[in-house]
Amino acid sequence: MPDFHALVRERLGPLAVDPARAADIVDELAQHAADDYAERVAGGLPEREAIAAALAPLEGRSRVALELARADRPRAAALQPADRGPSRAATFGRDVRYAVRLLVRAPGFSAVALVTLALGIGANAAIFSVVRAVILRPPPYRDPARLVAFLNSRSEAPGSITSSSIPDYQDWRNRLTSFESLGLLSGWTFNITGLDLPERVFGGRVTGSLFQTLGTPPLLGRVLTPDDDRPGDEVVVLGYRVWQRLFSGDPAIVGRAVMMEGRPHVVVGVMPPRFRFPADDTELWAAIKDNMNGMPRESRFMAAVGRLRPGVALVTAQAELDATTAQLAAAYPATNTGWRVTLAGVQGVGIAESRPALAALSGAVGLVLLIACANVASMLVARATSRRRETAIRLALGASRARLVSQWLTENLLLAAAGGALGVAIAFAAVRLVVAYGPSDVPRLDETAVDIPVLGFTLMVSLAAGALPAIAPAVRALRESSALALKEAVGGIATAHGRGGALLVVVEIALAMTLAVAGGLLLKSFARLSAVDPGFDRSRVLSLKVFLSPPRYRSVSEGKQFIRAALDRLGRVPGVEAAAAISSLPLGDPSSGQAFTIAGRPVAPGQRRIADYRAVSATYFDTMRIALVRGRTLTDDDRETTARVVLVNEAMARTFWPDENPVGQAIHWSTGYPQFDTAPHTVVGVVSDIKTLGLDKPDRPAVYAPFTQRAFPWLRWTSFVVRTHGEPEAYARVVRQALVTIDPQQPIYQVVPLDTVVAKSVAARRFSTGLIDLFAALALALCAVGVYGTIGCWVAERTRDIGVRMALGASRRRIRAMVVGRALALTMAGVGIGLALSAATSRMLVTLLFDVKPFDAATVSVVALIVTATGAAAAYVPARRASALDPLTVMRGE
Amino acid sequence: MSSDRELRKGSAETIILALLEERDRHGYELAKLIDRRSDGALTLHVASLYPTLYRLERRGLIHGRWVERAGARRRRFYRLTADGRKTLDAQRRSWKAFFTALNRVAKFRHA
Repeated sequence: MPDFHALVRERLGPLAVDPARAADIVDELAQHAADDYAERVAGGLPEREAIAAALAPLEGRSRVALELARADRPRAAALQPADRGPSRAATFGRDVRYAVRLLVRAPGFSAVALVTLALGIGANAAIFSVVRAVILRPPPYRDPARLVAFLNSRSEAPGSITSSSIPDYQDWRNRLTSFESLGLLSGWTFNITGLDLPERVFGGRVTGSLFQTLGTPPLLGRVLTPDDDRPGDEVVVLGYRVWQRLFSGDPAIVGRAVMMEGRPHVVVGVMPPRFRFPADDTELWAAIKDNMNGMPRESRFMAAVGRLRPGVALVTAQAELDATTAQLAAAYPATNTGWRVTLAGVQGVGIAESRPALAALSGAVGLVLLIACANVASMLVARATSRRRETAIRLALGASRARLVSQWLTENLLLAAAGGALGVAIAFAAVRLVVAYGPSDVPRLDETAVDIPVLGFTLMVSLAAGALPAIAPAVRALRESSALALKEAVGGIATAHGRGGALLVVVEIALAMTLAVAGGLLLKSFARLSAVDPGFDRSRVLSLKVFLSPPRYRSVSEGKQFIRAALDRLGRVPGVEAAAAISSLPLGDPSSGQAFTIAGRPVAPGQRRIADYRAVSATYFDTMRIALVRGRTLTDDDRETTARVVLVNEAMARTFWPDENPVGQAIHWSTGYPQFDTAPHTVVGVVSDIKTLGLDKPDRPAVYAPFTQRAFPWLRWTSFVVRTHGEPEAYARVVRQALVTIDPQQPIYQVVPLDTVVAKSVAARRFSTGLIDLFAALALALCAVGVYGTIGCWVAERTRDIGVRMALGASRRRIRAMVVGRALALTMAGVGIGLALSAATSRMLVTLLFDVKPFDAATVSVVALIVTATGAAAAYVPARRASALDPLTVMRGE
Repeated sequence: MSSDRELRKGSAETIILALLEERDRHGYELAKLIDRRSDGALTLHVASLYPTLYRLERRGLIHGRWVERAGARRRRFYRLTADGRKTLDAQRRSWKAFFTALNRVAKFRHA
């Protein structure tokens, strides 16, 4: 007998299994061949032909060897437990290939699922990038957790937080031991000259210790140090943006002098792009030197920041600060009684306003993603139903359930990965739009970018979005007995695919309803807010600003001179109806409170009366069309030399003279400037309230004083309002020119229609409302797809049933009604649950609503109607298809 | 395409399990039995028989062991395991359902 052992081994070639096992396999096959050979020879076949016949099946040797090894591999793995990897990877590879084939074969399903997932994932990635930039990303300071800001507030008005004064800061620096260092910044508008055009740049005068406290290394050159506080050359550190904008990012700028405030300032360094202390609009930092000397203790407008010593807790520092605050109040009762200073982490400052809106947005996109997942899940349930036969056969043929589930999971993850990739593309585009069109008053919004952490987040979301929808259909399909499924699949008997899919659709609609209610409420709030009368006529008014600073306008009277000349020139520009000046533009500038007393009405010690001080030209009320309620308005005869007069607003009259006529009363200011404070200021009239802080906020008690009678040097900002005959924007150039003729070195900025100023004041709200409504619309669209799919499936399963009904005389209209009725039933169940969800969650919206109840009946009803109509409309196509069935064909097809 | 291969593979597995239900057998015997009992309609030769056996063994449905007899080369005999018996029962039910359904639809038998 031939050596079949050798012959088989030669034909198989190397076997990719354990050598011992390979020997066994060869042994077994050789035995088989030997048996075959022996039988053939016994049957009379010549020996040589018998050998060939016995070995013939092994001729495609590599394929056979591969088959054997593949079938046997896990056994080999069991012998070498460390080597499990390849088989799993191979299985995964096979699953991926299979999944790709399946997805390509069902392009409609794949496309809808892909787009659904991409929208859900993309929206989430975009909002997460915003949240990350605004809230989560640590500021570019060394060890930012130890940095705290000093927030001052009057204890009787806890909401009104303001900044710090220089004398207080100096006392803190000398007394507090909890801090490693303290720094101070005073906001300052710098007029930069010597460039093509005079430029106005907002920045700060800072102590040398500020940079040391913040601990951000410069991009170029050096930062300011305590040495820079000493008299000597003026020095400045540029922010990245101003360096790019005005100096084209020229590195040689370091060491050069720039004309600022009429004096040369040597640029010593440039900061990196993300350094924006204390706020986004701060673009450069000049050494404080003696520019701020003599500021009174009650001038609280400097930003103070401190670095806690390592290991010192915030509460410890706060306790020490409280003790110091009490000492200062005792030492300076006139200025410090009633003030409280609170320490707050630097990171949280400035974003408190954005937080509720961002939370709402995150919630909204989360819902969109859930709806997208539910949608994909219901599509998968439907698909699993149509794939039952495949599943059943594979189970019957011995495929393990784990294999099937892992293959489905692969399929979904593949879908989600593709969706995630598309979602990232959507996020990139969305982030671009957000940066371009987002409101400017949300800090760091422009830093929003799709970066590595955002991609990581997106990957996680995609994985979840891939795995989540697969669970329900997998469990469902696997629970069924395979025999039953086979029978049904082959017999084509209609089954209730329904429950899983229907449930998902109801959930989807409930979530979309919740989101749509929130969107509706916000929209209504925004409409209400936009309809609020600001108290002045904002149409056809152009506004512009100047900052009248030394050396050109060192004294108060120099500033007044400019204003007088400007008003004169502006009034003579052709097409200008009226022009006026005000120290703080309503809805465009922060207003400044000033302490005062009322003649003959002393207050309890420690109590102070505060009102906004608004320096205006006599023409202001006419130009802005602010109504005079009582007494007289200001006139050109109210001059520097005449008796001091003021107007008050209604809020002031209500607060301080609730039962009296304020006209004729006198007040005294406490500014620290004796010649100003000693003179009585007589109230000669009352004007109506206007919106100054925001359309959603009531006006504060305010005093309007003729700018001619202002005697204290601050309030260097002045806005002009110009009422025009036509489109205000068309006047921008001539108005600018009119002012340039007075002082060519004086920068003029923010030349915008008053309408724009008002619109900007609600930009953040418009933005978040727009986004939430966009998400709500997206949710509704996804729901429509969901309803369409589910009802379509339902109809397909009932084809025979519908045929029977029609054969028995049901009209087409009745069939349509039946299908749409089914959709309506699902939709209304969803709407009902959505209502309950809205009621439960609407309280979270309260801070974002304006003049709308959290569960506004009208809004909720309209939204419920829209959602229901969407559901019914989505069912219309399947309903028509059902009613168009030909009963005969259907029955015969059975 | 894949389900066709799976179908063939699956039926081969069912057939082997069924043959091993009667008693333990070795590979050659299985091949001969399938050939003979199907009157040559089904053939499982070396290249597909042994991979199927190994796969079944891997899944714990059958168990193979070497048996040496005096004067003959050693042979590998396969035995149906308890799991194999369960799987065989399940597959028999599935196939039966399948054939019944197939028959009802395709009317193989005369009425």
